[in-house]
Amino acid sequence: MSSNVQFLDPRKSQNSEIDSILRNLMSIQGVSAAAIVDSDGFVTHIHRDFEINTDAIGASVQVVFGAASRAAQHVGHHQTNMVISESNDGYILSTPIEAGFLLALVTQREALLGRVRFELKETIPVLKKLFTSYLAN
Amino acid sequence: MIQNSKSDYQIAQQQILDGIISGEFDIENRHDLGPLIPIRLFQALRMVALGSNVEDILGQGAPSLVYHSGQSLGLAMGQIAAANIDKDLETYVGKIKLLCRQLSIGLVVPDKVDLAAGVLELRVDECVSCAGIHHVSAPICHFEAGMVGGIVKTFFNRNVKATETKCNALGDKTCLIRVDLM
Amino acid sequence: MHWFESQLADLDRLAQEYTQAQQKQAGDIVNVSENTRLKRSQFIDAVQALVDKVIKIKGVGACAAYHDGLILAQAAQSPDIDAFGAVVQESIRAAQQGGSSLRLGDIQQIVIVGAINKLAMLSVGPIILCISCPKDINLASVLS
Repeated sequence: MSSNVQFLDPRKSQNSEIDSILRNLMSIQGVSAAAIVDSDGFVTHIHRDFEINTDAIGASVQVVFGAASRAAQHVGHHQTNMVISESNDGYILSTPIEAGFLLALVTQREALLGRVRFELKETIPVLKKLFTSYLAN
Repeated sequence: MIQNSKSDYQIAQQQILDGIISGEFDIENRHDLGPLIPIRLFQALRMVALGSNVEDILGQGAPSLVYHSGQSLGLAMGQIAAANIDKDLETYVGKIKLLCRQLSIGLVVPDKVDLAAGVLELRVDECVSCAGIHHVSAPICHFEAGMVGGIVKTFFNRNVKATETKCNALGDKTCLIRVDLM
Repeated sequence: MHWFESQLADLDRLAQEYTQAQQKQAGDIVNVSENTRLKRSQFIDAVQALVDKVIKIKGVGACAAYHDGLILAQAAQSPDIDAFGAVVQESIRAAQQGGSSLRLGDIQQIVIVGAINKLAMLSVGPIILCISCPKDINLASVLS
């Protein structure tokens, strides 16, 4: 089991870059929440249009991503880059960043999946760089 | 027919918490064996059932589940301790210490309380989860971290992030849990 | 160069600018990523604008843009929108395999003509623009 000592203090002002990235993701049509979740399932950053139980969603996102990654390993897939959950009302997309942190997006049904997925794929390398430099300091 | 909206696990959880709240630790249907179990059985449940087995299924999601489970217990314990104390932190901590001792979770000792900085550190000596476990590579008491987080969250009514920074299983002799108030 | 070609050329330019922004060395992660985001946004907005314009052209039945077979921009809800995505991905993959063995170079266009309708797929940067219309419509002419 991995360590839970990786800690990114969400109160630090340097995290405004991450907030700016989340704000940008929220501007995509149909996206209703964008969150960073740490390895313990704690939501370190979040932008949303509606009330969310952040403790529950954080843990659930980690659990779903972890289970999907394990399922992928069982069928010989090595690295899980994204997990997409589709429901009647929309999608939840989660993508790994660094050190167990995940980026999760919640969308309404009218979101264009290709648009959201494209933006997510293009955003992850930037977040990886930011997290690598933050966690190294 | 009345529809019962609670799952069987939720029904059992309610009965267990009611038992804890009542402070009555005797238990029915255990006339010969009594209410206590060997610590290794608890550790098997914690580190195997809620540890390596969960990790087999959930991978990196396992610590989140364990932390979240501990937090649920901490929230329930917090509600027990917060009753009729008029928001007095010292009394609250005293009740939590007593509850943790009664349940043999560990000996809880506040190490640092800096409310201005929004940081608390609590030691859990003789931690039930990792006592007698050695040579791990990282702290393993995610359940206790979640529990302490839930206890602090209940009192302050604020989101918290609890992180285990020292662990007996790492050779630290105690478990130290840092709680950041958000 | 007719109207649609010039629109595609504009999109190509924006796609290239976005790729160049991505390739810049990130000494200053924040500013570089902001610039990349801006270029990406300009490209996607232009794709959406083109899709919105194409659907208004008489004779065009549907128009959408896809990334990896998933909808990235669409003009209006169409019941076949997901099916288009599946066809786009299948067709591009088959064309890329064939294109490689025949040394065609990067695939730029694929047109599938059925007895009733036809479908044109055009590659622009990382996306595929997809236009469908009745078989008898001359797309080159209506898009000019």
